[in-house]
Amino acid sequence: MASVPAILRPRRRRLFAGHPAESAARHAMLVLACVVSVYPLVWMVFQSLKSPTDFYTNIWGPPAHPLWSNFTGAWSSGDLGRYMLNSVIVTGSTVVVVCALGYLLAYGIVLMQVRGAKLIVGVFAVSLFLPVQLLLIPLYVLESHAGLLNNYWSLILPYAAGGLPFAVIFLVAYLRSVPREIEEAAIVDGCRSLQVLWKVMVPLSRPAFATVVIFQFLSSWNEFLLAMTLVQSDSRRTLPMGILNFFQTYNNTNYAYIFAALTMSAVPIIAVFVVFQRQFIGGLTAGAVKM
Amino acid sequence: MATVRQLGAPGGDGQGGVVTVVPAPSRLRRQIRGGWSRYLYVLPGLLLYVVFVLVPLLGAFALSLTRWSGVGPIHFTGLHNYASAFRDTMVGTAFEHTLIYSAGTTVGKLAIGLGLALLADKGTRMLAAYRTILFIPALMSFVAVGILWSWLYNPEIGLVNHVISAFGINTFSLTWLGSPHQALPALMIVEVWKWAGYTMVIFLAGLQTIPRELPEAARVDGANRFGVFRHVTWPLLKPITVINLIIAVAGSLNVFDLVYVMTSGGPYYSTQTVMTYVYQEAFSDYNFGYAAAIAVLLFLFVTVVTLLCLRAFRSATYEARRV
Repeated sequence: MASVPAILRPRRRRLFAGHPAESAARHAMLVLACVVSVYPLVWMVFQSLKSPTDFYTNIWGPPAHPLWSNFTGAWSSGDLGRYMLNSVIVTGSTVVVVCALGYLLAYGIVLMQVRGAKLIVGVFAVSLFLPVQLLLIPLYVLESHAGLLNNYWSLILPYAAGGLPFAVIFLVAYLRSVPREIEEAAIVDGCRSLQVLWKVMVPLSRPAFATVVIFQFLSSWNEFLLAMTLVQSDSRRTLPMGILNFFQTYNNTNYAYIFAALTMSAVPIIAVFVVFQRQFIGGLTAGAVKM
Repeated sequence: MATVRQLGAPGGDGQGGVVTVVPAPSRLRRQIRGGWSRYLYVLPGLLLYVVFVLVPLLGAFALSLTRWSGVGPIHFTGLHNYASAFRDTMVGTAFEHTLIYSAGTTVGKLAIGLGLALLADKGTRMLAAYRTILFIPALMSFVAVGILWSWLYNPEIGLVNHVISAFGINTFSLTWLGSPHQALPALMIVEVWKWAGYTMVIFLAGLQTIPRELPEAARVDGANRFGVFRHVTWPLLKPITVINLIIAVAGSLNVFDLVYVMTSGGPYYSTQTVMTYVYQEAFSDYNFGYAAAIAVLLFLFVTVVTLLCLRAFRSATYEARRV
């Protein structure tokens, strides 16, 4: 530090920190971008609380007298509770299945060194880009012949199978970065093979699990094409299909109900994001960057 | 470490003495790994993958060679579906719209995402707040986004036209989703709105891997701002740009949800995309074989485009990694 001539430091700051006016312009553009991204969502909440007259006369702003009854009305008439429960069941089970089977696969590949590991990883790497659109029709045929349509498994199984390639590739990369000495120490200390897995490696892999869980959670929670095609009985529909139905039912009657339903469908995921945003952004960028 | 491994090397077993006092972890691992039982780890996952990904994948190619309505007998027709697809003007229209949609939204997402990332990269104190807020649209489902934007585009009581008319522009002719000329651009705006923040977050992750000293050194050496971006930042960002490019291209070529929710391909087929056409052929008209053939064509197209993206940037990626 002492070897750096003191005269250089203030000069550097002036060179790189930028002019105050420039920094203000920079922030102004970013704030504008934030408004564009978020105002539609704020507007959605405003609309959900408006009365029918408010809806036409007051387009921009918040409601004059918030009608909280729109929420209870939309919740009960749209059966949103059931759709949300279905989404929680399908997404939760998918996440558990992907984590469990994906981790076992990655563990088998890296630590158990099964034969054909290279082939498995290669096939998974290629199918990272396999669109669900291509599999849609055969999946429908397969499930209708197997009597699998219209229940929770009709979505959980294809979601989990589709999520495995990313989970395995990511977990394999993670497990390869864990020093071998940790496993060796556990074995020397007398761990049996499943104990190594459960008591040593799984706790060590928590950050990798966070990424896999977030990826899988987001994609299953929002998935629409398979959900619409493979589940046609109303009692098993997930939230995206549920609110689309709701939209088509109420589009000519009660507008505020539609916005209340949208708000209720979006709030859980935004709330989860705000609480776990470090993990979300870290996980999603790690997932994208490591690909 | 090396000596321990040597001590436990094959051939040393059963000879007692020092050799077995310090058994090599590698041998221990081999004991614990067992023979066939280790395949139990990979079996359940592979089974699920084969049944619900590989079998349907082969099924898609097989179905595309048949004429089948979903029930009754299946007729093998060879490449007939592909020949029909090349003559079908709706396939041409759908591919054209999909290409426009994909190219436009990809450029939009990358340009806005990169611009925002460069703007936010220096304001370190507010960075976390900007990033959080700009990321929120990426969390929502396309269904919720589509319904919300159908309302935003409402010509009379929607927000979009009210914002535009606040600038004194006449919005009489802006009917958005109701107009065959405006519907596709309207959908593209929504796609960019949803993903620009996500693209920015990935670019930011890339920018943060660039050591601060490099652009600073270039500045000291007399480069101007654009020069620094052009010759230092951009080359180093290329690997992350490829990732963003592939995510954007693959996602938009397979577009379905947004179109289905907002316009269902209308008005007058002006937003008909490949996947909405596939869906219509399969589940409205029950031409399973023909629909599968179009889906296969789209898949091949996406694969070729993705590989081209990868190849175009591969040498640049190596260069950037070496720096």
